[in-house]
Amino acid sequence: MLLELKNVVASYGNIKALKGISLSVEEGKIVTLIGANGAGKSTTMKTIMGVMKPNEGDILFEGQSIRGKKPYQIVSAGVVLVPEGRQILQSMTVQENLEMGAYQRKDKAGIEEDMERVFAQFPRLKERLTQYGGTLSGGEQQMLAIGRAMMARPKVMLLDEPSMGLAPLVVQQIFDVVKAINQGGTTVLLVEQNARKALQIADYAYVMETGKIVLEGPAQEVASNPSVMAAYLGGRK
Amino acid sequence: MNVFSQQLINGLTLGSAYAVIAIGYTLVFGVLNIVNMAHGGIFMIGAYIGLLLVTEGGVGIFPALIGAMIGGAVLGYLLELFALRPLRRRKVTHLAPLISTIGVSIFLESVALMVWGPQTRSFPATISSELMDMGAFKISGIQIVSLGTAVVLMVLLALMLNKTKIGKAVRATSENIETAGLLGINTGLIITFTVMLASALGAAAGVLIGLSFNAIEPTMGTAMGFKGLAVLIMGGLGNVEGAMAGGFILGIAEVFSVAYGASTYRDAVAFGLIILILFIRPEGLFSKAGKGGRP
Ligand SMILES: Nc1ncnc2c1ncn2[C@@H]1O[C@H](COP(=O)(O)OP(=O)(O)OP(=O)(O)O)[C@@H](O)[C@H]1O
Ligand SMILES: [Mg+2]
Repeated sequence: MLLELKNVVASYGNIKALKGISLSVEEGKIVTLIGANGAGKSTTMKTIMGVMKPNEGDILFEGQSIRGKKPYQIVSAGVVLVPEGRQILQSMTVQENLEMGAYQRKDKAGIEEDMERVFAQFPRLKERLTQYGGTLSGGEQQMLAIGRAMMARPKVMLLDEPSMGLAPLVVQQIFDVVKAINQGGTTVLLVEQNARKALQIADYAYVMETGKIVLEGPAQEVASNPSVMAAYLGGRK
Repeated sequence: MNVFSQQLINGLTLGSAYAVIAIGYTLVFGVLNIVNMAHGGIFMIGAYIGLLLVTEGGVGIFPALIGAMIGGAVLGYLLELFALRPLRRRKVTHLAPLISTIGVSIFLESVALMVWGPQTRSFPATISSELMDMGAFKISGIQIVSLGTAVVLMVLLALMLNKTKIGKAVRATSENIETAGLLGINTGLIITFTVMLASALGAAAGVLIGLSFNAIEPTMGTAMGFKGLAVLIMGGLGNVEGAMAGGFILGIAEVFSVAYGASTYRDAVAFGLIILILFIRPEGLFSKAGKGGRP
């Protein structure tokens, strides 16, 4: 397993947001984590990244525990997060945002190569290189957030609701890109509200409710589970 | 001689030193969202280090300035290690670092009083205070050194923040510390670096002000601390360009209020101006909307 959570418990003060989460992300796959608002999906992501410290349990990356490590150490291990709400650096240009994505890398040639890959994926970003992050549209900011994560050349990319608040056409583009990133060899853990689309591109799925994993299985099986259909897929096949 | 252009030069000289002090405040505010009340104390110690290097060490003003900046950076490191980091670990209230840095500032002032005594000291007259006539205004060697050094420091700082990797990391951390961490930036290291950098600038400003006023005393940090704070607020919290502009505005306002007959009210006029600016732009001259950072 590339990434593994074992019985992770995490809380905000007295509120337990994760009540013992176990999940595994196999190398080369797209794994999706779906669940209602407030289920604890973002908390799971933040705990993996070391933004939050787990109270109990362990997090393994390539078999090594990364529990208690700082975010920058986890990034250098090869895990990167496209955060909920994009978190673009508003006062920096598109180019600087992309450069910051490659902050820990020293291989100049590789960085340029990845910059070109990002432009190939999102030609719009190339047109806006000198524009400030804060002046981009929502869709462009999401492209930049994903492009910035690509610049780290991660082994596994975590994405937290990348389709949130975007027009249908852009949503489709984002899902296509996630798929392309995965086909390029990057493992993906995808948190989504758009369960239908997420289950379409994923290999494996976890369903989360109030801090617990309530269901897991190959994405197609989860998609045809009656209770999932009722709760997340609008009740129809 | 033209009174206006003469006062403008005097104001720019003073303002440039204020700007350097205020940049120190604003850099620390940027990455930590706290007002570092120890900055004035470090400014004062910087002035003494520069003075002692010149009087006891027998070095020139520029080596003394560099020595003061190194001393300032070391003090900044200790400040971060003992007064800021422990509080950050425990996630205590916002006011805690305010109190702890006030404590450091009182400590530094007492140490200076104990070691160097309360009397005012001044730089020896090795640097020319003779006025050179430039036609429209006269400028002294001290003013050239002071204004020149401040401008060079600000240009170097701007280049660092905008062109170098570590400078960009400081900007990223200052905009949003969580995002910066997620990008792979060691934000703890950047915070330490920023406090050291800010303190080095504060110490340099101490030497420049010490030179310009030819008066170095243990209490000099307090008044200057308030001015730097006022400029921090006027310029927009955490905004480096704002601190630069604000420093110059304050310096020029002070000098002009003295020149045009309000010398007893120089601070009142200057602070009145700041209040006026804040009425018009409560968020500060250059504030960017939606500055992130520590909640
Ligand atoms: N900073 C915080 N302080 C206190 N409680 C929080 C905080 N962030 C999240 N929570 C709580 O933790 C629980 C899980 O939140 P989380 O953000 O992980 O949910 P989510 O599954 O990502 O939801 P959404 O789909 O709305 O993004 C919620 O009950 C939420 O109220
Ligand atoms: Mg969420």
